Amino acid sequence: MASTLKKIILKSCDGKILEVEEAVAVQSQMIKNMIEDDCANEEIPLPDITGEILSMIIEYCKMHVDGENNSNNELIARDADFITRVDLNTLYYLIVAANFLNVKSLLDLTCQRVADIIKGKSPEEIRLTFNIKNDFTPEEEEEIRKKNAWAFDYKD
Amino acid sequence: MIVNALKSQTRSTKMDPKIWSKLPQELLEHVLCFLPLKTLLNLRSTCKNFNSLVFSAPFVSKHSSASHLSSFLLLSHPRFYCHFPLYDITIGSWRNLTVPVSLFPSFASQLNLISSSNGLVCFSLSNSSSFLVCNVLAKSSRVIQHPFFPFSSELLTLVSTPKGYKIFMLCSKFPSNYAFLYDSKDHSWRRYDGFQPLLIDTFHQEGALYNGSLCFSTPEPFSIVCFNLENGEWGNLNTEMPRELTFVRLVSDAVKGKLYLVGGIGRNGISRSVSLWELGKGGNWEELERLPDLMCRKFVSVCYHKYEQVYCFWHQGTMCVCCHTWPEILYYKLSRRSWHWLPKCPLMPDNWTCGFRWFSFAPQLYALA
Repeated sequence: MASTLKKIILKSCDGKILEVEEAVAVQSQMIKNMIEDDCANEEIPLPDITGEILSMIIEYCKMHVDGENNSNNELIARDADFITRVDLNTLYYLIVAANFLNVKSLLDLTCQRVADIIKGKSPEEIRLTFNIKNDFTPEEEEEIRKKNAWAFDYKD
Repeated sequence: MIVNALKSQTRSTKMDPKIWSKLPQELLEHVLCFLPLKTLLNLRSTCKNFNSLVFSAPFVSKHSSASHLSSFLLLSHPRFYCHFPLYDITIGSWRNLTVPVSLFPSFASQLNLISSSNGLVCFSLSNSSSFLVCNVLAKSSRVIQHPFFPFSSELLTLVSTPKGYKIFMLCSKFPSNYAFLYDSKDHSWRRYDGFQPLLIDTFHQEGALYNGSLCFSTPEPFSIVCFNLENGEWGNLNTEMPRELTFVRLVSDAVKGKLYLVGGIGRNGISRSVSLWELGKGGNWEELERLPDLMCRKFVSVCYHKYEQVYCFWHQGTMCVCCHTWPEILYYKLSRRSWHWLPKCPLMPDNWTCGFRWFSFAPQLYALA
């Protein structure tokens, strides 16, 4: 039975070839569009994604296809398990790849993870991490820091 | 598969700037969308782009309900120019809100806070024949010209709606008795018939929003009239009023859709007691709670039986009863069924004796002025 399922062939930038069931591959909106446009009959080269990252994304998509009948809570728990195992620098490549392949749920999951990590950081740490130039004058920066501070006390 | 992939390298617990600084701008913005509002606001000083992101479309749609912001009782006094003491009832602390002068048009010399609804407040700019509606959190504002000149109005009430706001007022003196309604949908005033007999027996009471109408109490014989905010029609609330009332104030909990009545009970304009009623399903006033005797004695001596100085409003499950000539607030917590006095604001000098205007103020970033 499995043999009748259509396979999509993906090729990573470091030459790794992966055969993926169509149901799994179409989790990527980009690949889904290619299949609909009949452009996915030969192997699809992915110039910016390494084999390692591609395997992770396929594992993620598989997990979601297999888990279709699972409860929402179960999926959330699996997502959490998946994402916390990802190394913080690998996370970068995963975000970029999820964005390129347009796997929306994975993009949201990875971005949420980064948001959770940077939540406790100061503006200065954020600037360092993302190489952002501080384009405020010291006065402007102070003014913004003071702005509306009254509105954001924690309630409990 | 992942486990193997990860074992092959050392697991980094820090985000390497060499890698992360390459993150494309739109992906960084997507990440920021997942931050809690409070965190993002704290990160506004990172760079100008972060600062402007707070008002970007994806962020607005994600954070349009800002229930995690604090809400306050706001005190407006003519001698606090652009300063408003705020009291957070849940944590019991005072702070000071300074509205930057830049929010006001340059021609505005005399400002008077007259109404508040959720994140928006409405000032009267008496020297320039206009109102100013503003969101002091978002620092946005709009000047609204008075609909006619010379201008006088009563019972002005700002009502925030899901998509904007309305301003109701009654203009009984000029040119004849009319009601005016401003709608932010088309930024214009509409004129409707006023109401006879005149409604005004209080200086500071706003209408109570109930079932899409603003409700007001009439002077004696007491009854309740409603102005429909959709079609501008007046109607009566057919309900039998409690007996022997000395004054009536209406307050609504717009979230739960309930209407309350605060009233004095007594004769010849002297209240023996003060009580609170809720409009029941059958359309009858059901007495909820009477003000304890000692507190009642203080209350009537504070307002000296001049009930036209008394006004009430709703603030987050709390009924607030205020007197224009007294710096304290009497409030009733519905959930605990308990009455309290909120002591005088410590930011205010002792010798101020009059002009205390309190409002419920729930800041919202995305309430558009």
